[in-house]
Amino acid sequence: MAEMNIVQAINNALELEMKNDESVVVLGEDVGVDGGVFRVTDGLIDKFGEERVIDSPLAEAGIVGTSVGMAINGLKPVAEMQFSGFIYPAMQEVISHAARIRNRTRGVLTCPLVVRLPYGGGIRALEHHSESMEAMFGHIQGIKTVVASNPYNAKGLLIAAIRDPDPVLYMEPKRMYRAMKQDIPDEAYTVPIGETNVVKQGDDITLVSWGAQMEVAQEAIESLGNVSVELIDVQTIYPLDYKPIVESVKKTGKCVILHEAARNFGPAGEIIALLNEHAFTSLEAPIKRVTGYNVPFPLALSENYYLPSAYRVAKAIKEVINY
Amino acid sequence: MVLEFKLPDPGEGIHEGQLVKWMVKEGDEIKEDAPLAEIETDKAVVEIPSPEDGKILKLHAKEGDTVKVGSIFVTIDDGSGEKPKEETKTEEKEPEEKPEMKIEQKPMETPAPQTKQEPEQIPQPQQVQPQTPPAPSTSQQSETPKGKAFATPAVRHYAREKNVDINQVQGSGPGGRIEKQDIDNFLGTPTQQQTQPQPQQPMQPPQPQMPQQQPQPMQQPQQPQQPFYPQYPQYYPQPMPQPPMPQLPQKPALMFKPAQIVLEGNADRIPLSGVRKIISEHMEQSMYTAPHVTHFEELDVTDLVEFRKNEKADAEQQGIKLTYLPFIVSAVVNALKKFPYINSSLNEQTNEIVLKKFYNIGIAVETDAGLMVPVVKNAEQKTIYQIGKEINELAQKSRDRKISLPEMSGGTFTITNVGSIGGIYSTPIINYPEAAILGVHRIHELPRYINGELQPRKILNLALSFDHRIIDGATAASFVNEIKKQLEEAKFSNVK
Repeated sequence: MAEMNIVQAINNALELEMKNDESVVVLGEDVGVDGGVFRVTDGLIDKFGEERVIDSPLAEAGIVGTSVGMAINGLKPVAEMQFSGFIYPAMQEVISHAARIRNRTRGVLTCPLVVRLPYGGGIRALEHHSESMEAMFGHIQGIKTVVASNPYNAKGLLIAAIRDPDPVLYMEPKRMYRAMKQDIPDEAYTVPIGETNVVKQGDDITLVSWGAQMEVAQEAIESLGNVSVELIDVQTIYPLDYKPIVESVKKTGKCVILHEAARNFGPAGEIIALLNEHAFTSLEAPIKRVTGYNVPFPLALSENYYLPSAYRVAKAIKEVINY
Repeated sequence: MVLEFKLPDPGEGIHEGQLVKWMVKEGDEIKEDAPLAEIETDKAVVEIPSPEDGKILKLHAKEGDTVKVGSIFVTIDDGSGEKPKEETKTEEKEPEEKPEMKIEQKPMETPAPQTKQEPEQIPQPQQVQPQTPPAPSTSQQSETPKGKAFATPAVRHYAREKNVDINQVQGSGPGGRIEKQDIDNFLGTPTQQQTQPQPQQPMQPPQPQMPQQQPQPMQQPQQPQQPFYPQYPQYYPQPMPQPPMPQLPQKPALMFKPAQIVLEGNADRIPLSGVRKIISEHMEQSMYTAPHVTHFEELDVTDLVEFRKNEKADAEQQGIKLTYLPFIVSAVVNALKKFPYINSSLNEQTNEIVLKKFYNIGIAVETDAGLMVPVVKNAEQKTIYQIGKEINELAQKSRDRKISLPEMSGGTFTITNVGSIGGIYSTPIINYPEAAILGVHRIHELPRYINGELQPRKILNLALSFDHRIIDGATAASFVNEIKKQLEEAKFSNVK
């Protein structure tokens, strides 16, 4: 066991998998000599050389396109977008190729590719640096999308993503990169993709969230004192393991969904629809969502107004319980 | 006043930093924005500037310490003499929401206005027990559509379980909403969620438009498990009708389930595609269609070796690299003429054995992409030199991937020459739907008795795999004997 923050956990996962499997390569802007914009790939180039830790040109479409080629020819590339908001030029490669290789070749080829995406706000960054686009990713057929929320699942989900035969978009809560530490196992382990984690049992209400907002959720639960909240960390946006959420809402009858992404057509809407389909007769109150607002992510000064806060979550929980 | 300056987040979610160096000491005067200290985070060394003009009263950490963001870092006196208060800069979260805290919505609970939002004031669901049914119009969020019962899905479900027509129930919840205890009260029982062994007869006549309200067993809504989607059987009362699957062409059926490939270490995954996939399918089809038997024979080709040695130079003059293979092809063709069943195919659809009167001899060639079998067409009409020339050309084309499909089809019998690589015996798989395949091995010099006398002899091993459905062992052996006789005699009429 070693105490690590999320950056160290991801670095550790990359190092273990690169040691374990020679076909794992890392590529992206400044991931080599400079060790990545957030120092996530720090030291890897010294350990594995520049053939396996590749400083790419400043061209996201090229990074992902190259990775697709590597992946279908037997390598396991882990590509880094410096910020998740930089992936849009590469969406052509993600949607039209990475996501379709398996289907296009009728299962002959797969595309074992991971794209690491530091996502979300809260670091007072510039435009394009703060969005949470998991709803868009989750809507693409043929890719898996996971979101880490702490050092333990950051390491486990990344190793699972690297070992997965299909393309995985791996979202990293950059606001939490160094904000928490956990004791995590030294060896390689996986947190399975497609498994929702019930973090805390409770009877009164179900609170569903993921990524950086898990911390906000915990804070809200603490502020509520004696309300018994069942807290669920979704971990995988798609394929979404909704059964634990359904079972929880069958028990509590009430639910609040928390995400940082904007509200319109957000993942909360999908989860509410699933609860409608599978737990309708258990619902005791309308489900509420606490989300970002339907505006472009604001610049540094106003981002705290945009980001869901523990206060907003606690308020929503109270409204649902008091319905 | 005295300001307790807390270590701010130097950026990007830094949780803590190591104090590298104080740039001030206690008692120093300091200007706003002048550097207080250097802090090393995971990412960089940053200078922490002073928030105000003033005098340093106390430094709260030593050089080398790890300082947490938000902990008191420096105490500064700004000289104004005011009472100390909390440093305000870190409290910028949700100022806009503070006033809203006061107008919490709790319409039905208590007449006293809520001014705070302490956790203990959150009522639990069980606590919401209004004494009297309120007027439906008092709550704006509880407008009831006319003529329909006002209840949540959970209460409606509960009413169905209890066999109660919810439209007859008076609601006592917010806005006249029907609560679970209203259902219980309607049934004349105390507020209890346990299953009661009562109303066997429905309280109300079943609604004709709601056939699912027929009397149900009181206990569990769960029905017998459906194989389809067992987790939520109540939502899938009927198995989904499966559309008829289009009939796909059947592969030769494997009677066993696919093997689990257990990986206890790293492995590469090579897609089965292209030539490899075709080879794989052909081999599988042949092996699982034609029952194979392999017959072995040893040939003394000492004379043939001599014969070829004499021809070699001549052939070279014509640009032909003369190997043993053309001689074998020639001998095979002559033998096939005598044993027509070897040069045949079984047509399983028509139950016919097709005896072919032409002799197209396939030659298995190893290439980078995998095994290929170019065909020497009408070999019975060609001289050994011609055959040799053609084999050379076809093999080269195969290795260059320039061979065309017609040059690889139409074979009637195949020869596979493993002798160039090694081995003494092999069991070749028939190039289905042909009936047999001949494996040719390396020529060794071995001691053999000739008229009771031990001599060094040139020995060639042959292996004939044949389709036992149409060829019996005796036929196969006789066929091989015929080849043996010709090659051992080494008397060829069609060399050039």
